Amino acid sequence: MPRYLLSRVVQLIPTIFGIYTLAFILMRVLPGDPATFLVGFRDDPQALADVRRAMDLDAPVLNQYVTFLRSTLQGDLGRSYLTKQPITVMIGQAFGPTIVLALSAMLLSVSIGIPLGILSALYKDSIWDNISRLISLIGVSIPVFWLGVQMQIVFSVQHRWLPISGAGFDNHLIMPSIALCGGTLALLTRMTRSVMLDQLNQDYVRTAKGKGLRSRVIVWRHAFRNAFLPILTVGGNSLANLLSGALLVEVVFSYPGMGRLLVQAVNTRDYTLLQGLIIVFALLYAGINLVIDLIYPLVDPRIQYH
Amino acid sequence: MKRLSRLFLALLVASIFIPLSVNAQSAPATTVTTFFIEGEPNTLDPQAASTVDEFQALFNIYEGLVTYDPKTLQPLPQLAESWTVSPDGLVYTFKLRKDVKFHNGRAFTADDVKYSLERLGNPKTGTSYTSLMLNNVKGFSAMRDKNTNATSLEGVKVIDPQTVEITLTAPTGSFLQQLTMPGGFIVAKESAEAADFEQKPVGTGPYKLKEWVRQTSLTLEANEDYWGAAPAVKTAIMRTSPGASQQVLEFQAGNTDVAVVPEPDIARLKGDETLSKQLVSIPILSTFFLRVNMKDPVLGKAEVRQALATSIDRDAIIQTVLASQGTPAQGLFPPGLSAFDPAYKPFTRDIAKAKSLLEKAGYKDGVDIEIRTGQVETELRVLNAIQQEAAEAGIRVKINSTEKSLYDKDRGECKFQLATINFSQDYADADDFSPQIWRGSGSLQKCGYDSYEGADAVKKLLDQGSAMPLGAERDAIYRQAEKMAVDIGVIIPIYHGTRTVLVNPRLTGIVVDNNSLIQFARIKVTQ
Amino acid sequence: MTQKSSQPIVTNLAPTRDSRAVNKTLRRVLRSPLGVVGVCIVLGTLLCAVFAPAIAPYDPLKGDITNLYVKQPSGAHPFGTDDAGRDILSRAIFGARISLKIALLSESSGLALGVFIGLITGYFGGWLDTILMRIVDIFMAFPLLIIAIALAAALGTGDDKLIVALTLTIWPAVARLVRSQVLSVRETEYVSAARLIGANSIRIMRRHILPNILTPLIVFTTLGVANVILQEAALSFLGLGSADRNSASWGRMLNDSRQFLIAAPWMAFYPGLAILIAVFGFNLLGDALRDALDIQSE
Repeated sequence: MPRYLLSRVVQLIPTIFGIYTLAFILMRVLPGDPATFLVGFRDDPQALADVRRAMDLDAPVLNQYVTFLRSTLQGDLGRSYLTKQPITVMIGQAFGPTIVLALSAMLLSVSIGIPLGILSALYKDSIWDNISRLISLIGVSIPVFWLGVQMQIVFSVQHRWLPISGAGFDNHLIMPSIALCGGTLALLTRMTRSVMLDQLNQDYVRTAKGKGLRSRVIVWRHAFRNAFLPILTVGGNSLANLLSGALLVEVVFSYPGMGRLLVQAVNTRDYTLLQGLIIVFALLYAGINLVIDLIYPLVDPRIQYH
Repeated sequence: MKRLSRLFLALLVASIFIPLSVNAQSAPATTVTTFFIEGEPNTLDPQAASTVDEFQALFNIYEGLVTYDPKTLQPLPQLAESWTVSPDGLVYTFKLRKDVKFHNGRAFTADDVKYSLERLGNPKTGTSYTSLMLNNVKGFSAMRDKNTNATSLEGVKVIDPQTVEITLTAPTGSFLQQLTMPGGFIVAKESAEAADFEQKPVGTGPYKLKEWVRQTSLTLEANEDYWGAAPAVKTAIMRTSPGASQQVLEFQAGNTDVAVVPEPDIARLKGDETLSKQLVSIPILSTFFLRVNMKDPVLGKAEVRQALATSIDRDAIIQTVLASQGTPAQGLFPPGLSAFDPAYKPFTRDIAKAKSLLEKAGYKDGVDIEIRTGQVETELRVLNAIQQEAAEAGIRVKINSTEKSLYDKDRGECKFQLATINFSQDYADADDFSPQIWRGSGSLQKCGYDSYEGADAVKKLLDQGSAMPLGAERDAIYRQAEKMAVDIGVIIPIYHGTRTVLVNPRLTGIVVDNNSLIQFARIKVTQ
Repeated sequence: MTQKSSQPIVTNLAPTRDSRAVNKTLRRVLRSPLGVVGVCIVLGTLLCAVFAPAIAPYDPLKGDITNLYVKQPSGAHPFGTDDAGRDILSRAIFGARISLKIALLSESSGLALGVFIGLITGYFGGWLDTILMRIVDIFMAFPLLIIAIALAAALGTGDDKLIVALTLTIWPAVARLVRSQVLSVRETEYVSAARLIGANSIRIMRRHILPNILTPLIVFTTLGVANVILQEAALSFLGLGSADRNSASWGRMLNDSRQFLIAAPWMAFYPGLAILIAVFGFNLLGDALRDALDIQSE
């Protein structure tokens, strides 16, 4: 097990190095730099030169790359060009809200999607099945930012029920999580339906039925337990997707998370912030996948790592 | 498993209904809540500041030698009690206030003035404003020179703890106006050299920073040792802007005392009996115009520029798109500047005239032009209107709207035919605006702003005006230069801006000044 | 997770294409009610796109800002007018054309690139495979939207650049899918046999491998189009879409409406609805196709 973990982590290293380099190249290809952003309409070459000099942007690109790489390896993501704050602090502040948002959207998806999927499987081809498919298809088709905006109009503008923007561990989360959960809900419903159908067609379920076990027991004790592993996989993957899907929702609701920070960093050409965010997103993505793999043997003892 | 899913549900319900009412608590009457205009400050270092939100915070924390009058924007004494100017206009002698203390308790002296101005001049601090303020100060060019590495400004001299003398290399009529900019704020050396100065400001102003939670809000509290009158507003909270429309909603919900109103919301608010009375329009010293690439084969022709300028119905644009917030622009200088000439109206809409001008330029069948712009929504709407109006004269306009940084970059390399500029004052003088019609360096020079027909004469006038003392004679010279350039369409002026805000009626006095900033010390509170 | 998706979805299709199979699939799709709805929506969207000039009541680009500045829905303008005095219904119809154009072009070029890379890496293996798959890993290590944002910003704004950015987000998944299919087909008897009799690689790929991976690709592409429409709208919403201010793409329309949420809710409502319906249609069709092809393979 530890050896497996180690090899997985080692495998990650070249990928992360690649990500880092890709991020760096992308940043330098972006038209403009933080200095052009600050100087803006002034079009004063002297001012531009002043700001570039103050920001050390006049150093050769290769030197910048080496400097960034070295400090990143030491766990220091540098400081923002604009706010002068350490990137780790800025991302740290935005991290919590994004995780909370992603988790609460996950909770919503799980608590709606899994029952819906089971319902679908139990009553295959019935009206329930079709309704649940319809719900999940709409969920995956709806543009999240549009849904967010429509909810703002109805629940914040026309009726003053919910706050239109901002963050808090309270009713600020309702609209953003609903807007965000659609895709995951759809995926979970579909996955649950198909693995449950598989399970319900297995011999042991038929045997259990033959023995006269109550269907509730069959569904929960047996079928669902076996269906749990693939659902967990899909769920874990979705969590990673939720983190990035949160970006659009964060923009719509002015929610102070990592996605909004990323959009801001792109707009202001804050290279260091952007690189830091990309690395953190990639690490999170990889980390979640790793954790799912590690949870496998705990859930299903048949799988073992050597 | 079932238990687990129940737990999920319970958690979900709990997470939604945990009440955490930050806004609901009733604040004391002396607390004022506002929003930043655009977003929030990046830095609170006055010598590195460049955005309106940064200025909004800094003007309450820091002070300069002089400040501006909230209505006319002309210089008033602040940390300098009085000053004299030598007859040749080169030497300014400032007498400083005696009773001023920094927020850290130390007394303010002339050394702080010298330190602050040198900090501004240091290339390592660098802002886009530095050269605007210090260009004519003696010794500045040496500080800029990479070879000399001078660290002190020769032109700034401490005579005694209460007297500072600033020597210029050339007489500059607007030097005092320039000193009102935030780059000229006086900082305390010991704090400016400490870590995190950009988030731990120490000034002499009426407010101290109490707390700054980025992406949320910045809180100021009254400075009890302030040398001036104690402000009526004891606590000022400036929240990060969630976007203009949302500021209005928050205002309606009673969560803020001031809100910036975007044009689309104005009609609705005017229709509301209570809210219409709380709307305030503030003219700002700005001009929205189209910059021309004078080296472009099509727009290099004066007739084409004049035809475009004549085809635009400025009143219609202001009535629809700007919801009547703004005034038509005919020249470069906005009303509010003494150089503004209300009688100068070269471009009233006349489609027949525009068509004949085009014909004269050789475009009988109309002409295609492209306007580059960023993504400011109001400006895009104005361009749509221009597009429709110009089409009637046979000018087919394409609007190319790209991300701001790409736009800034291309404009900086003069890769455009026409580009939008919304120029608002840095300091209230014609001097600040005049580089828009003549400049011999950078992108404007690449675009031919030093070589158009009559450019030399314009430059001569501008140089002459800049060196003169303020007054009617100087204004006349600026007007003459403006006429020479704008007559031939060196810029195509569209409108002068207005900022519209909602203000809680319990606040009186000047809440939002003509620099579109809120200086809390000027606000009176009634309950 | 790759464990699941690397399993060949269809393994035992006959290696030749058969028009009867296509017919059969189509009939299967049309037998399910949701499939019918999907086909109808997709056809409807395509019709809108092709015949936009004939269907749309007004010119989507020309407006009357003085008289029609943000007017609410009425008889003459059932979806209302926007902030340039243009008819929103006409723009929504033309939007199908632009959004579909961008979606189909980027999806097909992403597909072509992905199939090409998947084929050569899967078939030839070796160092080329290692390098290309590392690159795929790097691309797949990011959330798609984030790559798209970075690419769109780096390439600059414009329809063509948007297509390039979207293409670059599509190919890695295609390449991975194709590669895994190729790997499973490569070892089958008929491919080995073909190799033994000396058929050249291109011929083997064309005659034996491509037809086999066609089925999963069809499903993948249909669902992919739905996804690309959403991505395009999202990028336009963030201001990274088309540079032409007047472009009637649905995402651009949504972006234009941002300051009018309160003053003119119809400006945001209809373009969003159009996206929802079109994406829904492609998803329905993709779903129905998957079911139909799955059954067929049993």
